[in-house]
Amino acid sequence: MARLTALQLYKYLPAKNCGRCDEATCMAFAIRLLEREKKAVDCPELTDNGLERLEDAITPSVRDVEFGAGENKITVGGEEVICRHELRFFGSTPFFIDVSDLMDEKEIIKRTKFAQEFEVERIGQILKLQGVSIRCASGDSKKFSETVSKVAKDFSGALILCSFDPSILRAGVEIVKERKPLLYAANKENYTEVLEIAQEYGTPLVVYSDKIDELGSIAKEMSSRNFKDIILDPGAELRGSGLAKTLNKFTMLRKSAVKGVKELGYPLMCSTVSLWMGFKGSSEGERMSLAYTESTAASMLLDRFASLLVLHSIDVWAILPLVTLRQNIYTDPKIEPSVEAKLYEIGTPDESSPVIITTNFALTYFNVSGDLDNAKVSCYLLVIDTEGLAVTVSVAAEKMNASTINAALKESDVENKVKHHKLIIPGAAARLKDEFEDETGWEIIVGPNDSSQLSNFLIKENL
Amino acid sequence: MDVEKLRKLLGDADEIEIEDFELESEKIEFILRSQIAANAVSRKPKAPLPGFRFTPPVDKYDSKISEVTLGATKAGGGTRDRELRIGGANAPPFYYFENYCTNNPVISHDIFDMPISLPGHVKKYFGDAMEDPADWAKLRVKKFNAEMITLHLVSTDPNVKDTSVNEACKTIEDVLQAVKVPLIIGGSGNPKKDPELLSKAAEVCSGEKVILSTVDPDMDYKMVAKAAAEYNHSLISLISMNPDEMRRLNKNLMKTGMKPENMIMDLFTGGVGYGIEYTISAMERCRLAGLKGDKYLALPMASATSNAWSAREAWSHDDKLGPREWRGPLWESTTAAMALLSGADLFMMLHPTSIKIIESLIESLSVSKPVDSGLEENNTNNTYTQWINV
Repeated sequence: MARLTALQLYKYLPAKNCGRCDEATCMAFAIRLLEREKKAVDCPELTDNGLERLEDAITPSVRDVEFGAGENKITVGGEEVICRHELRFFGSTPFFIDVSDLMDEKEIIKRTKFAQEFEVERIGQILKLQGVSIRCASGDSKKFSETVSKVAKDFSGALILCSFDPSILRAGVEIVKERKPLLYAANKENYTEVLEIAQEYGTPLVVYSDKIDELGSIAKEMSSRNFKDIILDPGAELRGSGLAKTLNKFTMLRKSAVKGVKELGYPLMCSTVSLWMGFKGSSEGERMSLAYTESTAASMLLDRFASLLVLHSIDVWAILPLVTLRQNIYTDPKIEPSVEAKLYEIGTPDESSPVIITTNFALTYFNVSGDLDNAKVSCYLLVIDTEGLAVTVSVAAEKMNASTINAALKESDVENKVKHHKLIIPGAAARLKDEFEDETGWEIIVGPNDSSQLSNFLIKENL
Repeated sequence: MDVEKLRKLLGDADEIEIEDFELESEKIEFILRSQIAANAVSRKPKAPLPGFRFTPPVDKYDSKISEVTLGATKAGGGTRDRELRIGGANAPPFYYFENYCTNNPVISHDIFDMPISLPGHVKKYFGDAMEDPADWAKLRVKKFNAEMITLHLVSTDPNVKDTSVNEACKTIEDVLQAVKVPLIIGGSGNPKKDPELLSKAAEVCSGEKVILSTVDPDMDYKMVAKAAAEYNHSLISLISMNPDEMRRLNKNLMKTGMKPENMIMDLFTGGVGYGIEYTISAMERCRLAGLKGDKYLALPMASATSNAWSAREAWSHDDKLGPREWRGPLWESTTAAMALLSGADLFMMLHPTSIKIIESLIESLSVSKPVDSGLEENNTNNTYTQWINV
């Protein structure tokens, strides 16, 4: 359904301004609904029918599906658009690490630990992996249950249990029922049984079919039984031109959902584990090259509408671009990731400390200030308002130019804080040296291209 | 049939179908492997599923992205051994269900007119060839099968080496002699010197149909456009991530006489983690506007993908992040993959491994119409369902 405005949503509300939802007015509540900070049920005035109408009206084109429990609860989907500039993407794609019950114990522990401990800090955010996907490759319910227990013991995040055999899924979910795992998967053979398990344990499930008609039919059947906590796996060929078909299929599905096809209005998932089929672990080179292929396929699916990904590789270098890209793609395009443009004091600067300039792109600022901190440098860091652009970009886009630098110098009053007139600029802004010098009257020193070399540079140049 | 024999048979089977079966014993217990059990369940008669017929959500687009020819052979008045064509898309990138069809994107390999600072593991691919642009170009073509070369004349920047325009033109001539693939002539980014350099380069490359890279509103772009038109070259307009400004610049270029079939636009490619999200959105917006009929944006797009190397993750020595020989090229190719999905038609790339990955992606993504209506299913080699059993 097309996204409604706050005014349109307001019509679904009681218009009493009773305040029992903690908002002063129903209009304020409507705005909160739009921002997804309130849910329909937060309005105590709405009755069954009215509540249902409102819920229908605010359900995103791609339904949002929750699983996991407590602080590890995950919401996937919730999307309204095809291109992020039309609104933004919401359900930041969770990554799950693949575990099979045929792996030896050491491997299982290694993978579980990796999923638990992986952590990268970027722009003040900690990027993590969200879960472990446990699949029953043995066909043995007992072996599967043991593996589920093992993983659950060392891992606190979200879980996916994978088997097409309902009795195996049942055995698995019984062990971790309080964690509300995601069930993978219902297909045209087993959907009645898998649906029963999902309803009994209050968990969502994945519907799998590589035929879109069938996928929609199963989802429709479940929805008619009043079950909508569904994630769709439309199947994926990931090798050669199969990848083209897969991207095409994911695109058709997202576009259909956005155009209001209810049967397909669910989050999409993909497992890239099938790429590893036939790999015996014999050669390190082959393993690295498979990890490369998997990371590439996963990044393209991440851009093209996969709301959940299961990954086999646990190589940090192969995961790193994925978590970074996810942070990028799911950033609200209206918000520039920037810090306040002003003069920052690093360490304990005095009148002879160097003055260094950089941009207010958050990542640039965190990198530069972090490097200076680590090197125990005391200095003034003058952050220029480049509208949140990095150095290279802001030089190209003229956001860092002689007049913005001059204005920042004046405003910061750094002139009266140091007794020298030396300004260190980023290496990537080297070609602006003369302009800066003419405009500011300060001596411009071209610094290194990367801030990790700043402290060595300061020592070498005796600054 | 005796029970032992039956049990043995069951042990190896993937599926069993028992016909004319008569039970003579009092009680018989089958222990079936779960796979078989699942299939056994499947044979239970089911209520038919409700019907759902999928119709691909097809939009029609008013316009088509213009096509640009790169390089000129003898027949076209040049000395190149091939002509390449980019552009021509009639739907968003890889929307095969909307009949997406285009020329294959082209990758142009970067070389520089002076040795530049690169991580050692990248330098080792080029060795001494980095000292001489002609040698570097030859290596790119012979060893790495470059279809196209970008010569970046970075040393001409007054703040770098201030190499004179005449000297830079000698370098261009050397490279034109050394290799016969189409060329991109890149300036240093200096807004004062580039117009003079690129205009002179247009004259030196007369007949070769090169691409002059890049022009922006802060330089005398009209001077470059005039030279490009006079000597029949193409040029790349550069605006950082802003579709409105890009539209304005292209409109102005067209006013000076540039034709769409000689124009390419670059919305600046920020690396993964360094602005790629703005690149993606700017490119998507321009491509959609172009397809919907905005003639000033219905142009092929270039991506200077090697910008990805300014990302710290691409080169840092941090062992916790895994081996940099793998991390670096993956950073560049992931950046390229995003540009590809956003509509890039021309890539300027650095690392041979990244280039190889993107070449094979382009090949596999651009096979002529892999999906007819989007409904065609090919189940014969679909192994996806078995991922659970890998």
